[in-house]
Amino acid sequence: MPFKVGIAQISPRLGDIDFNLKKHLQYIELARKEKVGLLIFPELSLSGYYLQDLSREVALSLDDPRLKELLEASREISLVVSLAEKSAGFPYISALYLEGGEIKHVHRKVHLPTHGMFEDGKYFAKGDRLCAFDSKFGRMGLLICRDAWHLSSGYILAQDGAQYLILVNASPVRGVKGDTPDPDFMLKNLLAVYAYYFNFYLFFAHRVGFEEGLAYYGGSAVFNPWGQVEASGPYFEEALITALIDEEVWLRKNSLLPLRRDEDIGLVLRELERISYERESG
Amino acid sequence: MREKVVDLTLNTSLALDVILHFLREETGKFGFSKLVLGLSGGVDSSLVAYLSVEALGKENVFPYFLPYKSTDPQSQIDAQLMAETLGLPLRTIDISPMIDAYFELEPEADKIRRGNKMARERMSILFDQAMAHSAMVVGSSNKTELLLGYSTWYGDMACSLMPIGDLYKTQVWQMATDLGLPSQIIKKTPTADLWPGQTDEGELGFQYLIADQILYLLVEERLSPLEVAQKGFPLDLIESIVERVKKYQFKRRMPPICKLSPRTIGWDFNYLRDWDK
Repeated sequence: MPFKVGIAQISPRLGDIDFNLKKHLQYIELARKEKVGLLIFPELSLSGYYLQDLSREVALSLDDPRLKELLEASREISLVVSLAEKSAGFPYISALYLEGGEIKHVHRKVHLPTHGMFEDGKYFAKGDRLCAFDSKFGRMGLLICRDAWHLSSGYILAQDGAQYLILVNASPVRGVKGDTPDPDFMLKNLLAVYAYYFNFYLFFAHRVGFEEGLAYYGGSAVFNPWGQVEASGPYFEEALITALIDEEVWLRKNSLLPLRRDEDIGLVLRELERISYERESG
Repeated sequence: MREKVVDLTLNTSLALDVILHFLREETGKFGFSKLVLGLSGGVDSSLVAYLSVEALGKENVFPYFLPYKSTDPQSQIDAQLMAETLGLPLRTIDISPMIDAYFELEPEADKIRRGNKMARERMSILFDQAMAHSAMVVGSSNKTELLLGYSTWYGDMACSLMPIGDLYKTQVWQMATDLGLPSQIIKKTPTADLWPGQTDEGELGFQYLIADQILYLLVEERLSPLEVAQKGFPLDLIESIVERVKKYQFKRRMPPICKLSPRTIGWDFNYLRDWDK
């Protein structure tokens, strides 16, 4: 059954959960009017990205009452939202898949960039799972920003059967010499490659707005399994981006280019085990 | 020495897009919609005036020309030209009485002290005018002068926002050219105009065109001085630039706080300025 996906390309307010929650509800209302079935918000949509010490203060438990309205809304419209998730130690950067009034899946960011301007590893704990999950639309995979830069993430989720890959993002501009804000060009290339070679419908939800001089550039996009852009958002402006998604397209692509069927996971496992063994034994 | 080894060319329309959003959002989220700036007649402040008008509209931008009696008359002509080009009323406040009143008490002060005092006097006026207009002070420092420390600490460096602080001087020239700023402003010799005959390149002892390429290789590409020299730049010049960058690091940092507690501002009390904004 075809469905409409929506990407809420918003500018969250740093550290202000109440404000951001209201913004989520506004976009949910907008999306509902457009008959969106699945609405995706960007990385740390409920808290803002560059949290530093705020990470502890804004971290929410998964049973926090403030998630109630979102869970209620998910009875009608499936949602992906992202937050700092409270834990016994450091919080996680998490993305939640909400559907039918429940949290269907939690992905905790695995790859925490900690170099240059990035400090994720200083303030957050690392997730240790990468698995696909079932939704009413089909099988999904969920990644957060830097997770996607490690190609193993796409590989694992494809092997785990994901048809739809959701990538939630918060990426600041670090170059204005090309046609698009750096790193948009290389990332979009990567996502097109993911879509085509791993065979995904890919939903890239990127935020906008500034955090102390860091410009999150937006440019959210929906890729079909042929690696083509079906819909895309503007740079630097808030927007709701929608596209019609048809599982038949995915099924047809999967049989016309049967890379998944022909993948040899056993070979990959054996070789990775060999490499790991050789590394450990020096 | 080769003229151009490194290409610093920007995509002007993309840089413009980022900077205009920066100016709008970093004022708006703090409850401001107006900007105050010092307009000297030079290319940096002229570009900032242009960007401010594009971002917030001319009715929300307040430029000030703040001359001392020794200021080159051409500076006023150029500041006036830029203000007229943008449709802005330029207010001139002569800082000579304030500066002279102080230096009557300090007649032995050299030109550096006098120049610094002028820069800080201007800062003081701009912040007061910002208060009067419920505006933010927008600064004109570029990346080259920030890296070289070629500016007055708490003088022209002091402001609320730095829209061109990540652009090298040659990129400021490129943007100003691409955006159609008056060529007499772009082409004139850069000067802080703190005393008659002063020029940036004369005082620094090198050309921006060369310094920017060296800085770009050192800072953006993280080459060592020796590797930069292999690209065709004189090693002694590279080393003198490296020394300047190190010597003036203090201007780019908050003053050190003596750490005495478990959570010291800047070390373990870390929040962005856009906290709850």
